[in-house]
Amino acid sequence: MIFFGRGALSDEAILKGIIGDGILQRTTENKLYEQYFYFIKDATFKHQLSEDEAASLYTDTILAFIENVKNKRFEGKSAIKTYLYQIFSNKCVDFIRKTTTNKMSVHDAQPIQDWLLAMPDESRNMLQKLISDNEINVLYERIKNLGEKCQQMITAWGDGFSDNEIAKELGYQTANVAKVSRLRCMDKLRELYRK
Amino acid sequence: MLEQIEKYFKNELSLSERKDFENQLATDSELAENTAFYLNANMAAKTLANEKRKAEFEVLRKELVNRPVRKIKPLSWAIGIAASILLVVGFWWINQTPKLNTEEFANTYIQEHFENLPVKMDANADSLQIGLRLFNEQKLKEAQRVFEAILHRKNNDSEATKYAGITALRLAEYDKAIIYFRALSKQTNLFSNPGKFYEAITLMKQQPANRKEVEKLLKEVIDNNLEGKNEAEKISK
Repeated sequence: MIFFGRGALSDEAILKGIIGDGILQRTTENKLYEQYFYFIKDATFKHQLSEDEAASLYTDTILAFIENVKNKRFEGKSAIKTYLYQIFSNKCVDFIRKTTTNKMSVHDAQPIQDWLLAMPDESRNMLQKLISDNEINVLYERIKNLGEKCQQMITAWGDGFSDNEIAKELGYQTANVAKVSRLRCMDKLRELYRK
Repeated sequence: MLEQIEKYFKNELSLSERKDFENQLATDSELAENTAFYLNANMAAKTLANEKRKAEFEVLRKELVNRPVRKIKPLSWAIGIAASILLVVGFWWINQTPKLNTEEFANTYIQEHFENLPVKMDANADSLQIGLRLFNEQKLKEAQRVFEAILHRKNNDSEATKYAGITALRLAEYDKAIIYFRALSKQTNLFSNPGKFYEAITLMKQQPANRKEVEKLLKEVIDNNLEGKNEAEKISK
């Protein structure tokens, strides 16, 4: 069963959809966003946030949840609604306390931290010195200067899509062809970055 | 070099290759710089992907906020009976029709594929490229005029027909979009023809949706191995 009617999605369908490919993933994510959309209204009453502030925190909540599902950090110990509400409430409280803001959470370093943790101490320490928000911001701008196709490929890679999924989405014949093209795009990005 | 770095982070190297990589990383500054580049680029790409997704969610939010809310009138006997009949009919209808929400599928497909169209960066500014650039700048009416002018000069231009259809679809001019997509699907000399699939997407957007026609078109796309077959299979399952 790939698509669904107008009713609410079950937790199982949400989890399957998010790790599904391409359009199924996007549709599930949109449906998930819609399903708990009323959290925004709740937050405007409960935390006295403006509609826009609550909506921005809600979007961050949905994105954090999607990330956790993809990286298998959501263990399913609680219902998705409970889990989402917990993340959302924490974000609202953090926002009110001004300990975090939207802008500060732009770079979610979790995936890189996961990668670095698997490295020996020496290598990790050295790389940590070379990774900085400044470099990330420069690269962020450089990606925008790439051609349309390269931008799409690199953004999809950053979004956690596999080469197989990128091939399907962007019309490459095989995952290998998509991988070669993506690595070429990364070479172009590196050239732009070094200029 | 980037491929080797990627294999390291994806755990695709053997134990000894992994060890070699780590040893080299400690002494080879070029490898270290490239590894940092790989990680920084991944973060930058992720940020961009999240921003794109946030913008899409914002569009969805506006749609949800503006969605009309039905007002429930006080119940009466007549409404109660009518509701019971509707429930029975609704239950029957749900079991008779595939459990898919075609409009959601169409919305997602349009958002994914028809927000930006591919522009040749190095091409001369021919009319088609001008139309595509206008489209990507969300100047849809202007883009439509350009594509239609091309068709006025050459009415069997498949690219212009396709983009005129997509633009009409984005402008919610569904009848017009269908005319273009039908014209496109009649062109038999193309290597890959998305006409029928795009017509199905357009029909999904029309209200009330003509489910039978959508299903028929999707079946044709699958049976004839036309462009859009993968997506058609997903929604038809």
